[in-house]
Amino acid sequence: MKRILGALLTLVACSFHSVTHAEVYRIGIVDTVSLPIVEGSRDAFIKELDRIMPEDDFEFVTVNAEGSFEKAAELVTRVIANENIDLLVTVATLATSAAFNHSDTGTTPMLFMTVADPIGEGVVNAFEQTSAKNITGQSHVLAASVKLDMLDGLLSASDITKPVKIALVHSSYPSSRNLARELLALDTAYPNVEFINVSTPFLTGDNALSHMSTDIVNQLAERAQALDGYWLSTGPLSQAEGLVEAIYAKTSLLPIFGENITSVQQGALMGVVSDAESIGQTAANTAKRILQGESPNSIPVKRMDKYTMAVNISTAITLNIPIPSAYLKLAKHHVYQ
Amino acid sequence: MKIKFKLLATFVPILFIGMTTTGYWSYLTAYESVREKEYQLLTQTLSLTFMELVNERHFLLVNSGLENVPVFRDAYQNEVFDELKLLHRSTGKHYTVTNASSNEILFSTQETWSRPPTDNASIVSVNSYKVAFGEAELNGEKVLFACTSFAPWNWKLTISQPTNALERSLVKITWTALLVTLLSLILVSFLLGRVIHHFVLKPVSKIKQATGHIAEEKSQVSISVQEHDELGELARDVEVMSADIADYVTKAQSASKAKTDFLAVMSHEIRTPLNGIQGLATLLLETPLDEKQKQYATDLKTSAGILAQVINDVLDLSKIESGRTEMDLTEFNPDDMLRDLVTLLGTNASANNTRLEYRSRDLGNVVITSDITKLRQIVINLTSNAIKFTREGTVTVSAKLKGRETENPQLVVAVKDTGIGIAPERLQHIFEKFMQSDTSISRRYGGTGLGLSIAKELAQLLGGDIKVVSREGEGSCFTVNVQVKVRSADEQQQEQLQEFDASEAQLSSGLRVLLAEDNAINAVVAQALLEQLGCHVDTAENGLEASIKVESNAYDAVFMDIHMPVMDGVEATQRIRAAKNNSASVPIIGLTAEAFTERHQVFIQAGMNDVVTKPVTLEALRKSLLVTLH
Repeated sequence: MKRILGALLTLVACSFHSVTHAEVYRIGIVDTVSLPIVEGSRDAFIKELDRIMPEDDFEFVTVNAEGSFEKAAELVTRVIANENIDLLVTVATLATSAAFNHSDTGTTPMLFMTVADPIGEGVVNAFEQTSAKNITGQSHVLAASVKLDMLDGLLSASDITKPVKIALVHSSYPSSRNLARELLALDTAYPNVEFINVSTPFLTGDNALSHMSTDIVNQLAERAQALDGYWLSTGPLSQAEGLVEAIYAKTSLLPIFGENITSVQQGALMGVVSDAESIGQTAANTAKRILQGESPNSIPVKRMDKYTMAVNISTAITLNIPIPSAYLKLAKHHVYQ
Repeated sequence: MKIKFKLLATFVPILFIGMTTTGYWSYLTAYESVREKEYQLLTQTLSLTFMELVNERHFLLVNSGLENVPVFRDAYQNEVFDELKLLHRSTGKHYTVTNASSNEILFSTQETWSRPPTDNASIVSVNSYKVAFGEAELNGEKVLFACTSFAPWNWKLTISQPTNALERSLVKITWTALLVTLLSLILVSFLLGRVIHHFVLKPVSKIKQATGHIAEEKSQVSISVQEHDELGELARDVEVMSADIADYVTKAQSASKAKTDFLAVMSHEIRTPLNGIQGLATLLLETPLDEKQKQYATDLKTSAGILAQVINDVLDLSKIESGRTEMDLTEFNPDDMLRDLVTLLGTNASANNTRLEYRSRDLGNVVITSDITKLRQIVINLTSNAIKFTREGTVTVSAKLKGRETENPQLVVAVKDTGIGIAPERLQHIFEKFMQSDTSISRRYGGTGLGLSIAKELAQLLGGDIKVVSREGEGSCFTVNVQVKVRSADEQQQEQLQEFDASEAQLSSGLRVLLAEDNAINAVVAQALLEQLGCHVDTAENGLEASIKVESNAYDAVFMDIHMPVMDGVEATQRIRAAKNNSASVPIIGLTAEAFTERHQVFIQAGMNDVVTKPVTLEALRKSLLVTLH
C-alpha cells in the first residue's frame, strides 16, 4: 500500500513539474522575400522545431522584407524591440545582413538560413568559425569550386573539343554577385569551361523580378551565338518564374548548372543544391540548441552537409553531353526530362 | 642383424610409404583446392565485378530511358572500359570485350588477344550469369579464363589471368607438402623408435641378457620387466624356466658326478685285477718258460694291454666330456718326443710291413711348452690309426713350427699314410665318437672308435684342432696344430744345469720300504717290481697294520694303497703324520687305480708325498722314489 501511494505521489509530482516547466518560446522570423525556397525553408523550420521540441510551445512572429534591405532592417528592429522574442530567425541574405548589422545583436540570439555566402556578408571570416556577434547558421549552397569540379567531371566524360562557353547570369543581389565573383575567379583552373559575365542590377518592389529577367533575356539574346549555355547564379533571379523558358524561347540556350531543383526541372543540365526542407530542418536543430541555452556565437557557421543532385537528361541529350553514370546514380529521384 | 635394425628397416619404409601417400594426398587436395579457388575467384570477378559494371550502367540507362541514346550508351560503355583498365591495374587480370556476333574486339587490356576455346570449358552459374571457364594456352602463355555474354549490348566478356601465380602457389604447396612430410617422417620415426625402444627393445634386451646369463651360468635369474603385457609374461616365463633349468642343471651335475664317481670306482675295480694280470704276465715272462708257455704269457700280456687301452680311452673321454681334464704343462723338445714315439710305434708298423718315417723342420734346437702327455696321446692315436689302416705302405710323421715369431706359435704335426683312405661321405663323421669309416672296419681292424674323437678333443684343449684330407684307396693325411710356447734349447740347458735331473739320478740300493696292499696279486706284482729296484720290501694288508709297522720300524718309504679294509690309505697316512715321533715324517707314496688328478690332490693333502697310478710300472716306482727321497 505504501508503495502504491509512493508511486502515485511521484507521478503527480512529475506531472506538476512538467506542467510548471513547459516553455513558451517566442520566435521572430524575418523573410527576405516571398520566394519558394524562402517560404519552403521557413515552413520546414517551423514544422521541424515542433517535432523535435514537442514539450515546448512556440509562438512565431513572421514578417517579410519583400526584397528590401531597408525594410528588412526596420522589421528586425521592430521585432526585436516589440515582440519580446527568444530567438530571431532570418531567412535569406538581405534579412540576415540586416540582422547582423542591427545594433542590438548582443542580447537577442539570431539564427540565419538560406544564406548562400555568410562570409561575403561579413558574418564570419571563414566557415567553421563562430561569429563575433550573437548569430549563427548554415550556408545552403556548395562551394563554388565544388560546383565547378562537378561540372568539369560531367563535361570531361563527353567528347567536347573546345571549352563550353557559359554565360554567368547574376544580379547585384549580394549572394548572386558573390557566387559570380567566385566562379569567375576559378574560371582559368577549368579548361573545359569559359565563363561570360552577364549581370543585371538587383531590383526591389513590384515586378522587380520580371524586369530583371527581361534584362537578362535580352542580354543573352544578344550573345546567344557565342554561347553554349548559361549558369543562373543564386539569389532571387534563380527563383524567377518562366525565366528559363523565356531564355530558351528567345535564344535556344539551356542552363548548364542550376542553383535549385526548380532550375533543373526547368532545364538546367545539372544542379547540386539543398532543398528547402533540409535547410529548414538543419536550422531547427540549431534553434533547439540555442533555445536550450547555447549561445549562437559559440556555434560555428558551417555549410550544410546534405545536398541533392539533380540532372536533366533532356538538356543532356540536346547538348550532346552524356551525364556520367555516377551522377545519374546520385541524382536518383531527381532525374528530370 | 639386430632386432632394432630389423624394426627400423621394416617401419621406416612403411612410414615412408604411409607419410608420402598422405603427403601426396594432401598435396593433391591442396592442389585441387587452389585451382578451385582460382577458378572461383575468376568467375566471381567476372560475374560480381565485371558484369556488375556493365549491368549497373545498363540498368541506369534503361531506368532513365537512355538505353537507345547512342551518346549515353557509348559514354557508359566507355566508362566500363575505363573501369576495366583500372581493374586490370589493380588485379593484374586481363579483361576483354568482344562483339558476341562478329567476335570483333571492342576492348581489351591485352595488346594481342586470342579467343579462348570454350568448347571443352566448364560451365557454372554465378549470380544468374552463365559462366564458362577453363585453362588454355593463348599467345604462347598458359592462362585461366572465364567468359560470359551480355545480351543487351551483344557483348561477350572474357576475363583471363596467367597461370604463373597459380603455379607459384602450387610449387609452394609442393615444397610445403614435401617438407611437412619429411619432418613428419623424421618425427614419427623418432617417436616410434623411442616407443619401440621403451616398450619392446628394452624388455627384449633384458630378457636376452637374462637368457645369456642362463646359458652361461645355468642359474636362476630375475628380470626387471614390470609390464603386464606379452613381454612381461615372457620375462616371467623365462624367470620360471631359469629356475627349472637351474634345478635341472643341479640335478644333471649331481648325475654327472654320480657317473664320474661310478667311472672312478669302475676304473679302480677294473684296473686293480688288470694290474694284477699285467704284472703277473710280466713276471711270468721273466721266469723260465717253454715257447708255447711264453707265447701264452705274451698273448695274455697283450690282451691285458689292449683292455687297459680301452679302459684308458673310455676314461679319457669321460674326463674330457666332464671338463675335468687338467692341463699339465711342461717344457720339452718336440723333436725328441716325436722321434721316440716313432721309434716306439715302429714295431707296430713293421708288423704291417709298413715303413714309418719321421721328418721335422727346425725343431732340433727348440723346446716347447705344452701338455706333453696329451700331445703324445694325440700323435700316438693318429699314428697308430695310420699304421692300423696301412698295409705294406708308408706312414710319415712330419712336424714343424708355424708362426714362431708371432705371439701364437703353433706346433704342426702331420701324419700321412698310404693306407685305405676314407670315403668322402664318411670323412665328416670320423671324429664322432664310436665312429669308424665303415662298420666293417671295427671288425677287421679292431679298436673302440674313440681314438680320433679323443685326439680332436685333446687338440682343441691344447688350443688347436685336427684337419683331415683323404682319398679313398690312396691314403689320408691328418694335420694337428696346437698352440705352444717356444724357446731355444740353449736357454733351457742353462736352466737345467742348475736343476736336479731326476732321470739321471741313481736310486740307492737296499732301501727299506713298506708296501701296504690288500690285493694279494697286486701286492705280489708291486713287491716284485720294488725288489727289482733293489728294495727290501715289508708288507701290510691294511692301513692300520701299516701305521703300526711304521711306528715300530724305520722305513725309507711307504707305498700305501688307498682302498684297503680295516683302515684305508688316506686315514692311515693321516694317522702316521699325526704321530709324535720320527716316523711321522716318513715319505708315503700312494698307490691307486683312480685316474682323476683331483683325487690325487686329495691324497696329497692328506699327507702323501706322491701318488703312483696303477697298473704300476718299474719306471713309475723308480721315478717316484727318486722324487720323494731326494
